[in-house]
Amino acid sequence: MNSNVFEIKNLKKSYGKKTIIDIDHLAISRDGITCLMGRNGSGKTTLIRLLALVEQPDSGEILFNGEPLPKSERERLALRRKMGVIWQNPAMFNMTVYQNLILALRLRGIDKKTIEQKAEEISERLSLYSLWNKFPSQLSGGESQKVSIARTLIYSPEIIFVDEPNTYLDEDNQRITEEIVMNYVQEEKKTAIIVTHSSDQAQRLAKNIVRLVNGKVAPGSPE
Amino acid sequence: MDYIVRAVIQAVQLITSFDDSVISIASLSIRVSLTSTLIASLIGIPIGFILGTCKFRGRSLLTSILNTLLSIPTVVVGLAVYSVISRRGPLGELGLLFTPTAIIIGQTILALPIISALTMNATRDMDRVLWNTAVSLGSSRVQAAILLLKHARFAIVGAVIAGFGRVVAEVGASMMLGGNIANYTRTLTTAISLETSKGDFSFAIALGIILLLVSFSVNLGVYFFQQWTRRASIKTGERYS
Repeated sequence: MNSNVFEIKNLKKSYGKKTIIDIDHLAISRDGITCLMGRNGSGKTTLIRLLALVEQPDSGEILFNGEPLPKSERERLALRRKMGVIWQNPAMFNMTVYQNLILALRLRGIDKKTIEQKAEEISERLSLYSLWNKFPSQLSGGESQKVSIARTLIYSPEIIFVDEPNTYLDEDNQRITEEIVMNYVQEEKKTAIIVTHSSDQAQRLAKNIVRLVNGKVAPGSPE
Repeated sequence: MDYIVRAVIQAVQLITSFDDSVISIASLSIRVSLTSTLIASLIGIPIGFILGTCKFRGRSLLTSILNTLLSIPTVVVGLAVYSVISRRGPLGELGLLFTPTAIIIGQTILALPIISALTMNATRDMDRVLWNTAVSLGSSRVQAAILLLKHARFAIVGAVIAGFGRVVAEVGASMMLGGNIANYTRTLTTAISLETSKGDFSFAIALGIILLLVSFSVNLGVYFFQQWTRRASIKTGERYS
């Protein structure tokens, strides 16, 4: 299998007249964690949205496991279901934590027994039982982030994207989030791409670090 | 003051004795208002959702038109529909004028902008992150749209109630399009208007109290429905805890 999970060629994305992403070439390794670094507005989150198939690029090519990303919505959906994104702002739907937790499984039409089993497994692992009947408005920032991570990991995505995990968390919760992501990547041999501002965090976690400056890959990043 | 007290007593008597004419008027009012609210919801919620969540050319113009229609007088809607369904109008041959269907058409047009605009506001306030979250969790576009609608369900129910409130209380369109024909197109509001002009304040006030009770009952029903859905969603989790 290709050693790069993603390969990007001449990728461009603009919003209005502003070019957000303009990458000639970038390869992202399958192994372990890759950190995306850069200042605000450097295009980190946009790049995640493009790689996770949430948005379409204006031009250029993204190869996933050596194959171009599909064009048809049906194939894109199938591929998207192998990926998971933990967003910077953990948006929760207006339903109980339990229902948020199993949402991705229900969307995939998984049977009820498996859903219950997986919900119990992830809740055991991340100590979520006490939150099951709460609504999003009753959760703290750390609890929301934990549920947001759990509802992504529950379907065991091959690749997880984590968008600035530290933004709304205190130090304890930052450490917990890091541990969860690290354990998932190491134990299940998965790939993670993490957006972070923190050089310390990047040095601590990442096998590869990609720096973005004004939507371009800065010299010294893996190309 | 006397006649107000008499009116209240008469209202209670009319309600408790199940007076035929009152039941006929109240049931027609409820029927046409619920039907028009249902039709307006089926059309207005998708329109509001699209305006609230999709970016496209002309969206601002459509939003402005919608906001303008919020304050359209009921008699103007009555007049517009009248001109289309009256004998000389393009749909005159259908013979809709002075029928309950004509009132439903008018009331649907009245409720539509309210339901659309309030749905638009409810879904526009939702963070774009919510859409991205739905998509990244593996929703198809249709599934993501349903999730967002479900997320905004309480606000959308509020929009539907506001639409119902607008039509159940309006008199202009019902009078012009229904013609206030006894036992056929006479609604609570047109009957109140008629009884007041005849000087029968007691009967008019009695009908007014019934109108308020109808409105209150619908709101109460929706409140209990919301409580029930909330409890039901909690029970889903309890089963496994």
